Amino acid sequence: MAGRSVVAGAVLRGVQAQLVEVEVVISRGIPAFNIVGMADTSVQESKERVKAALKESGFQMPADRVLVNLAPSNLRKTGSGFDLAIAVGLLLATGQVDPRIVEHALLVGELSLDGYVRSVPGLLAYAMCARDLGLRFVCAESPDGLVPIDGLRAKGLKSLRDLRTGGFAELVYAQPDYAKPRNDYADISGNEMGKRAMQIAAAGGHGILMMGPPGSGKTMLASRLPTIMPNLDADEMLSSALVHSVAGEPLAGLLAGIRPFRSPHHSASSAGLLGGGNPVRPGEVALAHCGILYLDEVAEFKPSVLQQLRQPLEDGCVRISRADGTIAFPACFMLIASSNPCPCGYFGDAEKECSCTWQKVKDYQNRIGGPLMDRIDMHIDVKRVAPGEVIGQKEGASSAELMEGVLAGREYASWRKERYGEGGDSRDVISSCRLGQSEERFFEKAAEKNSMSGRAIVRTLSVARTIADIAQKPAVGKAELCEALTLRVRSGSAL
Amino acid sequence: MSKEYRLSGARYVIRHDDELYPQSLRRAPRAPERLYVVGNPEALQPGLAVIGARKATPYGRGCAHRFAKLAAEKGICIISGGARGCDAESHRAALEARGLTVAFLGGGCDKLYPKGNASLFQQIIDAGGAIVSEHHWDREPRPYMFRERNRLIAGLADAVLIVEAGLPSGTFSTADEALEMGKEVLVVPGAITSESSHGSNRLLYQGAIPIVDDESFEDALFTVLGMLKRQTAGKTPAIATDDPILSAVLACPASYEELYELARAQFGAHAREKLVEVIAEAEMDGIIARQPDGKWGPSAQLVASQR
Repeated sequence: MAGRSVVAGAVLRGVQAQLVEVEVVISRGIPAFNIVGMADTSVQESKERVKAALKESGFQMPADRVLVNLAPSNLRKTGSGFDLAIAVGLLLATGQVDPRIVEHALLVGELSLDGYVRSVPGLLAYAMCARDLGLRFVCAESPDGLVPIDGLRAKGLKSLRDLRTGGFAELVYAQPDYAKPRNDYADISGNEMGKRAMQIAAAGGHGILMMGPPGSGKTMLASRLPTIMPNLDADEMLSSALVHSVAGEPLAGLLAGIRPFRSPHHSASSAGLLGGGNPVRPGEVALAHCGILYLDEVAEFKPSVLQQLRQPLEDGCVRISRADGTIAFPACFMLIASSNPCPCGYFGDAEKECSCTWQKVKDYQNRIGGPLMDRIDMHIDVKRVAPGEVIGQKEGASSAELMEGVLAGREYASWRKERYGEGGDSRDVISSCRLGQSEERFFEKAAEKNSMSGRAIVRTLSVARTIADIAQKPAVGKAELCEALTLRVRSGSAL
Repeated sequence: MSKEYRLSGARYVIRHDDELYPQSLRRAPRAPERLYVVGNPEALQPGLAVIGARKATPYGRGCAHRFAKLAAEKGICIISGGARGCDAESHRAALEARGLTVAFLGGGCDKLYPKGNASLFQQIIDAGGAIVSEHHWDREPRPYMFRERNRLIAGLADAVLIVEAGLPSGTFSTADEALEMGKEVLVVPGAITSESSHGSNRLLYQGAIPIVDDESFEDALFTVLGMLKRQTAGKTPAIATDDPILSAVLACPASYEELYELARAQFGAHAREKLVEVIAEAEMDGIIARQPDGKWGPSAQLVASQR
């Protein structure tokens, strides 16, 4: 029995899939099954799965020389997604299946030993590749990590057996999780100024640093941020879902429009935070794309790891360079950092005494600064709330109330930017404030008195602009300037 | 590791039976056999010790500056420990007033601690003051040496002024040493809610002389050191404010949230606007300052200038 076939498969590179032609040639000779074309171990293992799956589904495994070539052969192939394409290629080459049923189709899926098709990570990326090439897309029947996209012709395949009849199924997509988030800012009592700062940060996308003793509610304040942010729009959802799909993370929350909230532990390695490994997997910054990256205990992170956050913060994407090329992940996120004020955590606390020496406090606070300070616009202090206030359940601002301001601010800012063509660079920030003469004098005096640097001035003004946006005011007034001044990042020399 | 800074200036080893050995120190408990001095050995004269917490608040630093300067202007030698915070501030104030000042170090004079104050030490020497230690030049400072050093500060001085002391603290132990030696202890009171004033307020309760303004300080100098009272002593003009927020901050450091609660009680719906305006303006005017722990409190300049 001799035969030949070509089917389309794909391999992931970052968040993009690249077409791979799976050529199968069957020739006479000593029975063998070889895969060539820079296939790594995980692809080599698919031989055994394909053999078992074919037998279980009632097909014949040819007793001849089988050669599978994955082209282009200079591209490293990895993962179990080639199982389906190899099996189908074999069936076509041996004439056991009608070639028309898989014509112009991109096949991606892992096989179980009894012939059923499973999902692999990154299906959304494969589907986009198929759509862009004008191919049909065939994958598992209820695929994990796939969301409906425009212009995609996709079908599900439950088992290899169904190829006999050409019985493809309609895809069953994951359902969005519309469950109301249980978190609400109304849960937090006594931190009204902290909540206000969160509202400003959410409206303007400002980076924020929170400092306070353990148990003061820093994490509570941060983790409720998604509840006051506007829902993801379709483009944002897709680009964020793409990263989550490749990383094999659940998509249900994103589908409901909830922004991702990532809080990596401070032991995170640079590969975990920025992406890496082989094959390259997106890191936390990419998973936080369109959402929030929360660095709790930021002083405990390895300084070298924090240093590497600079590039994604500046460019909105993270680039990982490898010997065989550079891979880019989108990474446009809002940065929230929190820290204890000192190693023991109780410096400045009303009840517990701090056990740190002065030098230790200073060193610790200096560690927080460094590379991230460029991107942090606001600095707030969070105090522990007295038990009475927590139990007393004083009514404070709820997420819904805060979100009103955020939406108003964002709406006004985008109107303002469109109308006046104001971008984000520092000159635009200053001109967009439209300071009157007396406000300008006031701010000049404040900047001089507080010995603010040029960068600090621009950042304070951009926060003031956001505060004015929330109130939908065309010009920044004295009240906004004052509030921004109290939220400004203080230099480490305050000690 | 930064290079060890070596103080330049005349060096003396003063033995216990030497003429230069200060009389008042001879009576101190466990009087050292030798004193290692860089600078002017004649600066080792009875004076006023001004000490306070290292982790000082702007209030503590401001008080140290204000009273050390007042005393130095009258020609009183300011004695302190050369530590950060209040100590360093009082040395600086003395230098500003072109007065003499003496710093007792914990370790040897070639092992400066804290290193960051090396240039201050050099200025002290250059201004005719002295850096003193009971240890050999190269002796590494150890935490236990600093408490021992405190007895020398109390021993040399005629009176000890405490501007800020927590509880327990090295400053508090110096006060104990001073009382044992029969020296006068003057204390600047603080807010009872402020942790950094617990020790000083406790000392007041135990009968230390309270220093509440320039006048009371000059009275104390007069009785204790026999200084002539300066007739021109001004009164303390409190910052004229009827603003409840500002007066709260000046009375006791408070966090942003606490002030917001206060403002809400006062101004209702416009609390936030009012609060941020008061805070930003007062900070700009140098009346209040943000403390390292994030609370707002009276600024160092304000405390130092109220005279």
